Amino acid sequence: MQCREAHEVLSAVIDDEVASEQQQAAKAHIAACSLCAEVARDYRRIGEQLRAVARLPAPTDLGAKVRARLASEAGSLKADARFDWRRIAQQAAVLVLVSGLSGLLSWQLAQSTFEKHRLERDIIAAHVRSLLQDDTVQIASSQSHTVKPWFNGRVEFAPPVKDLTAEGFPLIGGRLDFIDNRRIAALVYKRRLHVINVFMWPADGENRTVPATSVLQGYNAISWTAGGMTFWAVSDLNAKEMAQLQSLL
Amino acid sequence: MVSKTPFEELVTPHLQAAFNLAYWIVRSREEAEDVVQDAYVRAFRAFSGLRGETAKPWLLAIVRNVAYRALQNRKRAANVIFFHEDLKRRDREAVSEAAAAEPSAESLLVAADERQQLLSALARLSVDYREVIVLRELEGLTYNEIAEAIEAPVGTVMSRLSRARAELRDQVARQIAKDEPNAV
Repeated sequence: MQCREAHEVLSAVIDDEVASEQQQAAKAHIAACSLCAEVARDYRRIGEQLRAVARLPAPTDLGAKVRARLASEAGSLKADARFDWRRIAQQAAVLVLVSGLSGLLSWQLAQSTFEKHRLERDIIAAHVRSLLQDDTVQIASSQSHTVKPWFNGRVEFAPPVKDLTAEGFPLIGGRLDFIDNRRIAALVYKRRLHVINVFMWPADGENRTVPATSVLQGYNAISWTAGGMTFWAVSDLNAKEMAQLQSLL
Repeated sequence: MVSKTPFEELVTPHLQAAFNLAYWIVRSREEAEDVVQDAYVRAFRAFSGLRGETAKPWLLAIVRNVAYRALQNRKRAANVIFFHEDLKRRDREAVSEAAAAEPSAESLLVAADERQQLLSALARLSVDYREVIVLRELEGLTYNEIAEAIEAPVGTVMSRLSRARAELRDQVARQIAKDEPNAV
């Protein structure tokens, strides 16, 4: 075997990953050729040294963080299963029975919980849908005075747009979305790798409500009303940083 | 809390390997942590009973995909943010963003000269080469397992690793020459 040939298989020979015939020929060459022997020695030495220095210890709390994420994921899967089948079936049964008995009043009651579920589902669906697309936004800009005018004529209200880059939540842009049978404004913020959708539309009732946090299918959500607008912020970001974003908006 | 499920038993031993691979692809501890968490959630969703021996390369393939997506998002986010700004400022900020996005390995692991030379040599490799070095030298995966993790044929693993080692050796030699210009 010649040097050039040996060179090509040297790395695989060290790893014991070549056919035994070739392995023997290469080893014989390395034994006889000081240049190739030196390269092989260097490869081995560099490998050993890398093992010693380049393995970065994982943060001690990473395991706990992962387990927490998995627990919420498992919880939401279970909740989903319940929600999709038993709960809907129960609700439907109750609805039929009760509405048959007491008419309008119970009908309204059922309607409102149903609407709440539908709203929450719409919110999650819009969030997930945005993540499935190549771009989460239709107007890409971190500048509020670029994003805000874009909504002119697209929605029937002027959404408040703030860039929070300085606070660590860079504005990625905005888009239109459809929630609860109406066109609404969606702003997209980022926190590290996490995408945060902030949905907004004119409030129906009260002018101001305190923020309510919830976990929907494993996503953290905060909803509140301020200045006559209803806001929903949704992300897989942790609840603490979500609350921070809410306080900034 | 989740009770000890087969999923947890299979993948939690590989947390260190997952973090290490994620770090050497995105080269930021914070992002690597996010990548690992996202990858575990994805793995959990996709999990449907694996044999123990294949869990590691399978998991690392998911970690790698999430890490690459994070790299792409970082590039895209940089583009979007600078969309409407003047060119000069954009250039200046792109440079500082690149510097901030890629903390040098040296700053994370302060140690002897040789260690620094080695770490910066590894950091200088292109990500294609760096990942096979990490999987082989740090994680000790077989060529078959590496092939599964990087979703490439074994022949590609073999040639890439061979070139990666040659380049790493060159880089180390160059680092030493730079640090000790008078050494013979």
